[in-house]
This record gives sequence, C-alpha cells and structure tokens, in this order.
Amino acid sequence: MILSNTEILNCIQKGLFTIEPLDVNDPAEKPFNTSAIDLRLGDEVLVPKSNFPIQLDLRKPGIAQFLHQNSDRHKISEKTPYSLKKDNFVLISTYEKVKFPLNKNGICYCARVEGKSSIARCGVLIHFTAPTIHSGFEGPITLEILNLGPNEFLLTPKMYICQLIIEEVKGYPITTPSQFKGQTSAAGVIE
Amino acid sequence: MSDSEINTNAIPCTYINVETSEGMFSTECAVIIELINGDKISLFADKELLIEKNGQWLLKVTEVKKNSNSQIILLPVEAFETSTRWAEVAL
Repeated sequence: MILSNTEILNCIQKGLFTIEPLDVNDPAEKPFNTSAIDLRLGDEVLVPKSNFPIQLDLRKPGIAQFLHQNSDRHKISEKTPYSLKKDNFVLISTYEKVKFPLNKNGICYCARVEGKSSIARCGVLIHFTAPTIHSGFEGPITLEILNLGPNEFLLTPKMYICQLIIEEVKGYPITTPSQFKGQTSAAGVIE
Repeated sequence: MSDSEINTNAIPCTYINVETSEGMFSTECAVIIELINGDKISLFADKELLIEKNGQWLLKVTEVKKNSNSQIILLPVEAFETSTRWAEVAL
C-alpha cells in the first residue's frame, strides 16, 4: 500500500526509514505531495564519455571501474548549472540520502522513484529504468536522466527533480536471517 | 523524537572484505568482491557503507545465512556482473 504524506512523515519520525536532510515537519508543505515526497538534485553530474565505441560485456569483471574511468564528473552550482542537450544522457544523485532498513519486527518499506509531471512536460526523463529502491538500501538515489525534448534543459543543484513513492513490504524479505533464528522480539527472546 | 520512537529493530549487519577504488560520484567507491567460487563482482557503494580496518576495506552488508565456510549476504546494491544483490562469499 502506498503511504500518504502524513504516514511518510509518521514513519520517518518513528525511525522506520529515513530521508535526510528533511527540515519540514508539516506534511502539507513542500517537499510532500499527497502520496509522495519530492527529492532534490545533487551537485555532481556524471557524463559518459562517448568519443570511442565500446562494447559493454557485463559478464566480464570490473564493470564498476570501467564506468568510473569512462565518465567525466562535473560539479554544478546555482551559477553554473549543467545544460543537458537533446538526446544526451547523464547520471546525477539525489541531494537527499534515504535509508530503508530491514527491520527485525518484520515491517519493512521500499520505494519507487518517479519523475515529476512538470519536468516530463519538458521532455526530460528522470529515470528510464530501475526505479525500485529496495528494502535494505541506504544512500543517495542515482537518477538516469535523458533529454528527449527539443530544447536544452538546465540542471541546477537542489532543484526538485523526482518524487519518491513509498510502500510497505508485505512479508519478510529475508527468509532465514540466521543471526536471529528463534528470536521473536527486538529484545531477543531466543529458543 | 523520544527514545521509544527510535527504531531499534534494524537488522545488524556484517562486514566483508572488499577492494575499493574511486567511484563515479565523489560520495561512493567502486567495490570489488570475491565470491566463494572465485569470481569477482563489482558495484558502487556509498562511502558511508565502507570502513577501513588495518589497511583492509570492509563493506557493510546484510548477513542472510551462514554455512560452514561461507555466508550468503545481501549486498547494498546489485552487482554489475551478476545483476543481483545476493552473493555467497567466504567466511
């Protein structure tokens, strides 16, 4: 079930998951929407190098190192935003870090990152695959941004770029957490 | 937030040996993990999930199951080479 704005704030205040920094305590204010919370853009833009043809083979080890070596990192600011040209693709992290822990009491949450209608109208995809923020994830969310519109699009730090839809996970994600075998409560009642 | 409201139910995690190098974003590292079968997988991990102990980098993961000489773990993100967060590594 999708969490409302009030329930998102309630869960954050209970520490069931975190979205930081978050300075607002009123679910009727920005960044909350009725059934989502908006996230902002970070200040690093990763631009894949495309000056030579490469065939990616995920079966071969070292893909992470390869992607690092074949991308350029740009720092952006309010005065020096990044202009995303038509048909160009970049990676940017959210300014906020999220944490959806696997909770021993069995109540876990996950989320989906989605675009915002205002940005979609400009022809810009905020993510085009991999929207799921799984239970157990923590850190900033990496967005795959692609400009399919006819115009250049300015990416500025802390602009509201995407929304996070949060859901409760039914059933426990890990079937045999060995370290808690027989444990029936947070206090640790062991068989 | 009162103490009673603080979440104390998060599953404790374990740390595994990894090799690290610079990540794409400044807040992350590229990480190489050796699986029990000798294969190596890679992923990007937030720096807050990594600690250094005696020159060895350790990655915070969720322990799922311990076998006699290996453990099944849940990685923070999926690895490129296996497209999954589940992994079996040596103890």
